[in-house]
Amino acid sequence: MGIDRVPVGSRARIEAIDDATARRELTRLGFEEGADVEVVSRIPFGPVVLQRRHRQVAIGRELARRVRVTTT
Amino acid sequence: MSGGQSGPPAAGAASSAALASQEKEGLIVLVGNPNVGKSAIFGGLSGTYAEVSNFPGTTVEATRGSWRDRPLIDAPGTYGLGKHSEEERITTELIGRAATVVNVVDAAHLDRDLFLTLQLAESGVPMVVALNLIDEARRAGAEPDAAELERTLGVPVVPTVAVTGEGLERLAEAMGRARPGSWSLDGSDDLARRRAADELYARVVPETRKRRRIADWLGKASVTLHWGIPMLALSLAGIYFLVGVLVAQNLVGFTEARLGQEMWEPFARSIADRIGIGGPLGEIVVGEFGLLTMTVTYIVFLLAPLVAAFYFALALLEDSGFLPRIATLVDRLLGAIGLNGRAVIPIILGFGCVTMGTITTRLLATKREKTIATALLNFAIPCSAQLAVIAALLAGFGGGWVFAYAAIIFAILIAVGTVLDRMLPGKSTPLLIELPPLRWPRPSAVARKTLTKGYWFMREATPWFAAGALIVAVLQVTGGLDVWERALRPLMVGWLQLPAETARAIVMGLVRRDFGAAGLYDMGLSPEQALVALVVITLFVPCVASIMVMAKEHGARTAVRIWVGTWVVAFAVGGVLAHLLSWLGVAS
Repeated sequence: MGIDRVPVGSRARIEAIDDATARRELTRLGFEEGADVEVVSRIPFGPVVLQRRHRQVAIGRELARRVRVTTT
Repeated sequence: MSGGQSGPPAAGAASSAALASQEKEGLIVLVGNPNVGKSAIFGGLSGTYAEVSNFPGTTVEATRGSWRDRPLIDAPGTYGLGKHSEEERITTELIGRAATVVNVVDAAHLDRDLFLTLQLAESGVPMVVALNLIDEARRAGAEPDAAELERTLGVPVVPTVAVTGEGLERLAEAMGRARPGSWSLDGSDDLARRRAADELYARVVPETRKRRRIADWLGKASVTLHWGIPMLALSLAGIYFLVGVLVAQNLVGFTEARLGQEMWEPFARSIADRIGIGGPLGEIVVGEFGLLTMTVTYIVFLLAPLVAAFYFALALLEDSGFLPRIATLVDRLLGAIGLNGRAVIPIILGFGCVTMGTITTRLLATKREKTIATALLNFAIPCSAQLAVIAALLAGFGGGWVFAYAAIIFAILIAVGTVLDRMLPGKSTPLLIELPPLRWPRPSAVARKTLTKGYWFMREATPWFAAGALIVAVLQVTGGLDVWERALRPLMVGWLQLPAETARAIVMGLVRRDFGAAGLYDMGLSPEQALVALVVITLFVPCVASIMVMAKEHGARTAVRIWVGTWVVAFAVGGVLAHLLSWLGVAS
């Protein structure tokens, strides 16, 4: 499922990022396929904020749908 | 770029070849992720100021300087090398020409930074690593093992705190020992390198990071609607109180009226009398619109304090790391006008100086987004100087007028954005932005930024102000001003229902919008007239510098279209507003 459906406060593992540009950028930022992340915030109809270790990244809702995860 | 000078072609070619070989001999390039203190290292080494802030993308262009007679370049911040973005392309190209690369990394966020470090270590360029912000890493209880990092990479690694100068001596010494990394990657793709970086991180950084309860909570809360929006509202209220109330009303009331009009202007006139400047020349120099009277009062006693206060507020927003969080909060709203959250950065900077904001639209991903943001900035965003004059004028009538003004400008912003979003082919790109940790801004950095940007703005604005004043003064002496006022009378008096003299502010506004707003300051307008006049002058043509930047970035056609478009929008909206207000006045 997309990470846009993971409840706030839950952890998930990124399985695939179905967008070449986003995959490249997220890999550089340390949110690569295989990484365990926490969903910190979901702004209604807006971005999802992910956290890994102590670093955060915000991704727009449309894109979040294409970040496929399994919950852990 | 350097070969663009005029002169015989042979000489030009020779000098650019000489320049290239000179750069090859000693060129030092600073490379690192955005927001790691590269600019501060640059300042520490070269002794010149490059802007330091806490959000990605401050250095959109490479900054040049020198260190011990060797050329030094601060490359744009980038997360990796390649040809995927403008920053990556520029940085990769610079590394190709570099004799030495200084890789600046954030010791407190090494997990992210090691990706680029490994890429550099694979590339074979002689390098050193500056383990910057080491004080933050120590405070967090997670100081990286510099010796282990040095062994793995095979290059010198030096802990530094660029803003205080700590470790810069040793960095300078290590630059003499720069060498190509001995690291090689198993595999070739980004994912393999990212995993190797994660492994290296686990080896060099102890898992002893302290939990910082308040900072962690703030970091999460600031990107939720129910905490983030109040925080945003509170910051905006704070900025309004500082700029609009404390400085615009109390301080400027004193500097403009007392120091400017009661002390400086009579003094300037008495000097002019004594050396016998009179007649038309006297009018131009020390008259109502004089170069030494009105221009000095506006610039020194009206604008300087306001602009400084505004840049102070912006510096706090930038350095605290709040800006990218604002971008996250408003992403949904900006999505409605064809932008994504990232566009708040040029827009907020535009409230400082529209020209600067226009330049910063480069950090947006597509041409479409750049065009929309540029149009919004130049149609409807008032710059600090203008905003401050507006706040000073309207706040005197009460908060309701300020609110009405803000609501109208906001509505225009949405309207312009919506129209462009419909008109331009394509759609908005999704937001993907790193959120740097919230931190207390360093007072020295804030002070320095306020002064530098304030100075930059004043230096930029002053010649245009003087030119504008000269035009108005000459028009006044020659009677041209009366002709202009008569010509614009139907528009100003009939349509906008303003006094005929406001046509002067329009002349001034043609040069700079803030100058136009300042021209309205002492006209004794009623609240309704002030609102109409300020809405018109806000929506009116961008200042000459902005037009030139637009022409450079987007071509002359776009610039001319926007210039003409602002005339139409400004007078159309102003007239409708004036009629609406008078109708409401009659009705009540």
